[in-house]
Amino acid sequence: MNRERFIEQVRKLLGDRWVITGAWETYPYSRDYWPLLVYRELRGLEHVSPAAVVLPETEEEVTEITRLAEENDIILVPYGGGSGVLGGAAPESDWVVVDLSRLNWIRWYDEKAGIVDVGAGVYLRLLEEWLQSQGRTLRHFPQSYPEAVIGGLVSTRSIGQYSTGYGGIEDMIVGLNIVIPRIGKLQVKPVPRRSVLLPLDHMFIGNEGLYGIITRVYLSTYELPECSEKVGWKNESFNDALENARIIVRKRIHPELFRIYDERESTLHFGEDGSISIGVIEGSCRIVEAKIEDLGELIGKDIRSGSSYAEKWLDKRFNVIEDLWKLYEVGMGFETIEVSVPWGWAYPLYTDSLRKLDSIEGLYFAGVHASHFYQSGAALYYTTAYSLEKIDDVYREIWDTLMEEASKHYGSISHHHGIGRMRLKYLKLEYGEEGIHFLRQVKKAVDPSSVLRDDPLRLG
Amino acid sequence: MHDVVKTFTRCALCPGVCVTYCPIYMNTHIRASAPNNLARLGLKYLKGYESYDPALWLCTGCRECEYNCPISNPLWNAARISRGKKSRVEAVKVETKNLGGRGSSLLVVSSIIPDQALVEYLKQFYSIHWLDTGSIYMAYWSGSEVQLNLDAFDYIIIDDLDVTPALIPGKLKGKVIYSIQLLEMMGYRSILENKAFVLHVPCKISVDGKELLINVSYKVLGKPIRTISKCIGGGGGLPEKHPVIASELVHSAMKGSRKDYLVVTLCSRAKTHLLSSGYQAKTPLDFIAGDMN
Ligand SMILES: Cc1cc2nc3c(=O)[nH]c(=O)nc-3n(C[C@H](O)[C@H](O)[C@H](O)COP(=O)(O)OP(=O)(O)OC[C@H]3O[C@@H](n4cnc5c(N)ncnc54)[C@H](O)[C@@H]3O)c2cc1C
Ligand code: SF4
Ligand code: SF4
Repeated sequence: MNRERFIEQVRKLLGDRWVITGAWETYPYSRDYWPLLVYRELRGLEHVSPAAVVLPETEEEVTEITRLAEENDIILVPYGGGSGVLGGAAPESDWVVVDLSRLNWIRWYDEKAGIVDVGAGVYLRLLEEWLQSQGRTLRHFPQSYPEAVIGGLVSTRSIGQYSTGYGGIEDMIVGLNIVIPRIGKLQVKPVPRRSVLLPLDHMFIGNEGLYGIITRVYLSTYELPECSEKVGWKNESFNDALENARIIVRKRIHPELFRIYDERESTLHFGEDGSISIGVIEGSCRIVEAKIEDLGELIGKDIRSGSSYAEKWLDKRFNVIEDLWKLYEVGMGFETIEVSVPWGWAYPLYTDSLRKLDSIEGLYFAGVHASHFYQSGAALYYTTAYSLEKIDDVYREIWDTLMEEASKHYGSISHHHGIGRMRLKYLKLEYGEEGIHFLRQVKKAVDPSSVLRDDPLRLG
Repeated sequence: MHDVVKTFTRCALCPGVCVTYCPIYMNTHIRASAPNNLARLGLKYLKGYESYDPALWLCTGCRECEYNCPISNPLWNAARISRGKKSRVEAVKVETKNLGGRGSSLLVVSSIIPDQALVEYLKQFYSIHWLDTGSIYMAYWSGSEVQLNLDAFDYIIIDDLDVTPALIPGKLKGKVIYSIQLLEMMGYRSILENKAFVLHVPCKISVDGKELLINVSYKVLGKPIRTISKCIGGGGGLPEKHPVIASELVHSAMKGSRKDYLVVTLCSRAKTHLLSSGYQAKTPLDFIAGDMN
């Protein structure tokens, strides 16, 4: 490794101001939003800061940085908004962070097609506001909407609160540019769809900075909906709520934003017994009206009567800090874990996993909601609160339990947070030996010197 | 009393809901200045990592984070209070002007410890009282209060308006001012009366303060004025980066605007930069001094 030389070369490339090595300036990059690291820091434990942070402004600079990194045997880790919850952007002490925040252009690629050309460093909130000022919308609203950036969102295959209506980020991407160490800048031009061997753009959605650095994304946008109505209702039980959701989705009259809460979370968030469902139905006014009527008829409920549940939730939908602080004040930490599962296994997974979670010592709360639905199944999102004093043990136990249960019930170990650092050890549950072998071989082919994080190569 | 650690801890626990509203972070790309990170560094600093403080000095106290925070966390205040843990010695660059009659009493409020050359100069005309705002912060940390009687002074120069009402609970008894924020307001009122001089004002101080400033400028110049609110101000300042950043901010704020507009900048460094870029620029001091001459 020749770090000094690398830093010197990048300084020449970017100018001194955009190469950071000082302690106070590199410290912010020492973690992302992985709760384990967040609480570690609050307990006063040390984090490692990266050796340096570089802030390129152009795609060419990113390409040159990866080339110089290979030449000097440096490991790079891309950093977006730092809202990833699994440690993916957290560096080791000899790594160099590539902060993409200066790749921050937003412009129409084809206004008529509604395709927008966005730099990887653009904050989602700013993109959405820009689009809305033009009468368009991305309709991608993850809870991290205020703090995540486009490159990070694409790299983790993220999903938003309106996913049941509009899909995940992968459904909005029509093309992208990615800098791959041995390949250079791969440009996949934006088109509505293609059938040309491997889908080179989609192959890299969710690559979490292991295979390349995404520099530019072409996103397809929607017209702002004419009407938007809130709905809500109560189900007897979570099992009922799941079954109702399945029927609704099957009939394709689902709300665009659709969430169901188990009994525990319904009590917690709405102070209600039973299992609450909420939704936002969007589109032309006539379609919205018709959908509300059909949906109500299908499940035999007045779904307008519960609109206040939806309102309550919408009010606080990006406000995470309030609850986290309340927990923290009484010595509790949180963790959220999302998995996906086919319909037939959703309820068995729910009951079996909760039973196991409930027996973990030091875990005070475990509840579930589902907020992303498909023809074939749903995502289950677990929210847990535990004693911070016992964090080291409880945390691992929660994870081990849920990953094993999801896998046992034919689910995926991750629905949208990705793997980061935390999920590496469960990768085999998802893809098996062959899958991991494939991931390794691809890595070896495109990044043999491990210029980008090399965790997959180190997997057991 | 403001619980600085609690304020910082809330932000450190937060993913940074407000980061895109922070003008400093969004314009400089210095991630340490993003509110949640600033708080993380603040906590470190209070724990003894002395060199982690520069981010605290980057905050202008514009309060955008607080306004866009789901729990209205007053981060800006915690940042300012924390600065007081360390006094900073920095050279003062001032435009020397004849500020008024010999023998008058003058109060200088500044975050900077007295600059001897300036003091000597001013002494020709005034009996001077130099109030180092750092000492007010120090007083806060040692649990005592600072009292000031404004009426004792004929003239006031306010360099640093960094101290906040929450710092010293804002009881205003008679003529004694407990809070520099109030003093700030008094300062502006004095400008209206052409009584005091503002040497350098960090931008984005308070909405009211700014309103007053605009009014004064308008009154003096008699024509519409465009103000810049994106400037980083002076404050204590980062020795190297600060002036560069301040200038760049102003420059980016001005992008695309007409050069025949008069720019009222609240930062003298920015003014210099603007002048060299072909804009017309004035600081409040220019108005007041101009009016007095
Ligand atoms: C409060 C909160 C709520 C959340 N809600 C959701 C949600 O509703 N839906 C959801 O999907 N996620 C959610 N997340 C998780 C997180 O926001 C997403 O994973 C998001 O996509 C991360 O974006 P980021 O810009 O912050 O990425 P970062 O955290 O900076 O990076 C994430 C990963 O991508 C890599 N990376 C970053 N930029 C690039 C790039 N340009 N090229 C290649 N790799 C890159 C990093 O190295 C890292 O491995 C939430 C997180 C928080 C804190
Ligand atoms: S001010 Fe509020 S929103 Fe901003 S970082 Fe702090 S707690 Fe989060
Ligand atoms: S008060 Fe400070 S941290 Fe908050 S938005 Fe303004 S400059 Fe940023």
